[in-house]
Amino acid sequence: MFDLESAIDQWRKDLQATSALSTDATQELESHIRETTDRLRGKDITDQEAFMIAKMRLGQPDQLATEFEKVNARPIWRNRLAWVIAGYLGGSAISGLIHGASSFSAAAVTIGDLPAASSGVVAVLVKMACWIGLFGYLIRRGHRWIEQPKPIALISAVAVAWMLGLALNWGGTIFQAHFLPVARIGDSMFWQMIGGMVVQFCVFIACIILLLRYDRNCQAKSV
Amino acid sequence: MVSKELVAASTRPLVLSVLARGESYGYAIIQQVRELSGGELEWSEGMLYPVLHRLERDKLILASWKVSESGRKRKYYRLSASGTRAMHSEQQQWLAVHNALTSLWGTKLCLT
Repeated sequence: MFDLESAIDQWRKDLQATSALSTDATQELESHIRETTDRLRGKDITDQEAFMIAKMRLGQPDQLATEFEKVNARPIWRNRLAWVIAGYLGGSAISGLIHGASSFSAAAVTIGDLPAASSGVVAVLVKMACWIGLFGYLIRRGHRWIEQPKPIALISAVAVAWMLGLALNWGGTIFQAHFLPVARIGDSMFWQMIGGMVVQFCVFIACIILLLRYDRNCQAKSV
Repeated sequence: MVSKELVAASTRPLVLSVLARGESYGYAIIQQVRELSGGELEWSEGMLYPVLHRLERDKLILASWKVSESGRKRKYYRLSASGTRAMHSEQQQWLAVHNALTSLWGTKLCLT
């Protein structure tokens, strides 16, 4: 059974996904589509047919977005720049936090009598677990942050990640400097660096795969 | 049917001229232009809104949301002082083109 309200909801979501339209413009177009649908209703056609005609007359969301983009070029670029900055700060904060967590755990292991290489293994395992957890979260829930950005929550999360990352990094270094002989710190750092490099490379590959997948999804949506 | 290029070129003067008659909203502007042109001018409906937003951004028209008698929220547009000046300037330019063309066609008609 056709439900006009849910059809309009879906249409609005498709339109908002283009990100070129302000709330004001979306409301205005919605008002137009409702008016056209209402006027067509009395002409011996079903609600679904009336809505389809109204939608077709108004034009495809991506065509509308292209036209609106020309009008709002400056705010859209400002918005994109804000996302780039948020991405850089968020990425650095998360990367710092994971690095801090990994260094701290490796330092904790080195205090015991375990061989220096074991700190490298721990560093790799902690890093891998953190990155896998983060990517898993982003794949499943990441769209929430993009579709309904909450600037205050985002800024708070980035600030907490920065501070925690720094605290863990410094904590780990102070821990090692205090309790370990210099030669042992050197051995431990050697294995941590090699492990870190391997993980960073995997993270880079995972980011490329995610971006390509996202791009393919976008293209499939626009066809 | 009027060509795509001419439809695009005439959108701005048409919108300004419709609004010179009094405030109106997107759907009504489209209907009015369709009626006035006897169906010769067919706008792609969604394309009118970016034009309205550009005119609003350039402060040629002013907008305000109002609730109609049927209870529907509509965004109404009206001409600003600079919009009125822009409309007069458009009027002069289009009349110049119109006069040139009619005199050419008038001459041609006399010759044949």
